[in-house]
Amino acid sequence: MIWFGLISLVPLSAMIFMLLTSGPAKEWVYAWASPPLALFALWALGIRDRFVFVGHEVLHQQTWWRLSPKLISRWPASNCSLTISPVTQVEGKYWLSLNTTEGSQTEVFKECLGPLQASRDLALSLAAGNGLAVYDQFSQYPEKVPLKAKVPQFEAQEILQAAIPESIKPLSTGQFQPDFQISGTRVRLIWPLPVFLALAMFLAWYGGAI
Amino acid sequence: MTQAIQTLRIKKHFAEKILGVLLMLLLLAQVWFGMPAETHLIFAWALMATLCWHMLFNRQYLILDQGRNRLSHINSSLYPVRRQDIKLSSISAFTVSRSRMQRGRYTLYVVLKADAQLDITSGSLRQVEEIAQQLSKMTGLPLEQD
Repeated sequence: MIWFGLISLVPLSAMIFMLLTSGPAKEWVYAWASPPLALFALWALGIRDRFVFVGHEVLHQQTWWRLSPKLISRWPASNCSLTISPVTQVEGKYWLSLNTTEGSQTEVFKECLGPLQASRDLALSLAAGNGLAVYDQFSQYPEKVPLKAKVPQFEAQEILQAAIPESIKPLSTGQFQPDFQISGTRVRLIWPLPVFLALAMFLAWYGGAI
Repeated sequence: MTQAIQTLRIKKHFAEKILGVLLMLLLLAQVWFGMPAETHLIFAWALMATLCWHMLFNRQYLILDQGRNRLSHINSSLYPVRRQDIKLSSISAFTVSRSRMQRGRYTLYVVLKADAQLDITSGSLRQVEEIAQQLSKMTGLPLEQD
């Protein structure tokens, strides 16, 4: 929803600009169209999804500007699993995804995280108290295996030790090396446009002032 | 096999440079004789200036680095626009085929062993084939006909 909100900001900004610049003849069009759009943006930009790992349950809640958490769905933790998989085109970035196996296997959320150590720690700390299964999809790439990790200093250590197998290996980062990397896009070709626009407006104003 | 770093410029068409200079003169003349006050004309001027900038300053080149096992395709217009770094050992071949977007234009693709294609540059058949041949000579990888 947040993306719809961001998209609606584009016509909204144009309308506000036109409202300020256009004469009284056309003004009413923008004056009537912008408030509903502004309300929509206000509504859409405030929606956030929130996942709560509590007890032996995973809750999916939605909030609006951090107010009134609304329960969307809830699953028992034994039916959920976390997976860490590499972002194939960017080195050193990992996806953390939450899957549920109620009925069919579905992906509930997918979030892009930074370095491997941090995403592994996060996944393990989320799974710490509630017996969530954590899978590793980066060491033998397309295959999913249970995540091997050092046992962190948690209160619920015995639960963790039950979930994690004995063979513990430290992982080196950079096990997964992509075939190619792309940085930047061709969209960057329009970077000079705002600069030239500002320059042109300045020149027009400067010429008019003389 | 040499370990040196080799660079291959992807040459621009001569007409592009001439048009760029002409457009620049036109835009400067507009500034000299007074900028228009209308918003849409100002926008058009800025759009043309951006086009002119890329006609004059956009450069594309390929860097082959055998030591670091890397082929880079760099696109810049005085600031970095796009950069592709491809692992040399994962390339299986180069191929030239028809562009998907424009008729009569051809695109040079890098074919990866993992069954993916990355586009490098597009242009007329003669132009693209020349680059492809140079590239396959530099890397020693085959040039597939399509």
